[in-house]
Amino acid sequence: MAFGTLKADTLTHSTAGSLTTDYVVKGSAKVWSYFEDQSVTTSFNVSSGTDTSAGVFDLTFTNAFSTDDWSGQYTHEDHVNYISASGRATNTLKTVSKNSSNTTVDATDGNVVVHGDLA
Amino acid sequence: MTVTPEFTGTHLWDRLCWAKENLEGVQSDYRVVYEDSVDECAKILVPDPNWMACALQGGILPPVEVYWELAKDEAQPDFKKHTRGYLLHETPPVGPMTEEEAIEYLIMKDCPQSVWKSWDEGNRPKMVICKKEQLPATREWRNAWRISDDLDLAA
Repeated sequence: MAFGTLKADTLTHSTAGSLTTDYVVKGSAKVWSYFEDQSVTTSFNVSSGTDTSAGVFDLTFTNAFSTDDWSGQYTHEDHVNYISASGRATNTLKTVSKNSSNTTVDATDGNVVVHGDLA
Repeated sequence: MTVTPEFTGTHLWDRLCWAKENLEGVQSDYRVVYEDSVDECAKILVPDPNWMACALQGGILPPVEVYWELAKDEAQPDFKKHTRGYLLHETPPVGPMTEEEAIEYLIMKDCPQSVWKSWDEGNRPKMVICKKEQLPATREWRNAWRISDDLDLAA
């Protein structure tokens, strides 16, 4: 099937019970991204990355969230990594990477996943 | 050649799912260097490869004006939640762009309006489009990078 539509409100397992498809839609990650050396390698629902300064890399989304109360995780290989509250909006996030001396350092590879409700 | 389905009225998320399934990512060599604060170093915007594939393909992305409307809503002091998200999904998508047109679109979507609306006003440019290889080869003194004062804008 090249591009079809399957409409269902409930998924039912033969023995394990049922769940509504709301669980699938609302529980799926709405943004994910893998970036290397201040450039996005592969992603979903990201329009650009911005190398803001050493150790700080922003992502902007194609389909914004309805609010800025989304939940996101950011990881890379260094000591401290987090999504900054200061860069938070419905359509963008700011990742910050620091070493054990609390100095911002460029992430050689970063991984971001964001869940939430889309606009 | 992959043909884009008729996506008018289709949720933007579903269009992106189709693009992820059917289009190869396109890594652009273009970079947008801009300064939006005198107290901060230059920022470098890098297009996302999947987004660039959507822009070149056409029929997927909404007009950039839709993003401006949502940005206006979000700038309101009492903003809590987007109530006009339907603009993303119901506005007819834009057609195929060249890579250069896609970069212009991306600037107007992802760079601050205060930068791109007056990029060449003042004593020095606030924004420059360049190729990746024109950026410094190393990350040395990254937090001091600025757009050169003596940039030849005609080059």
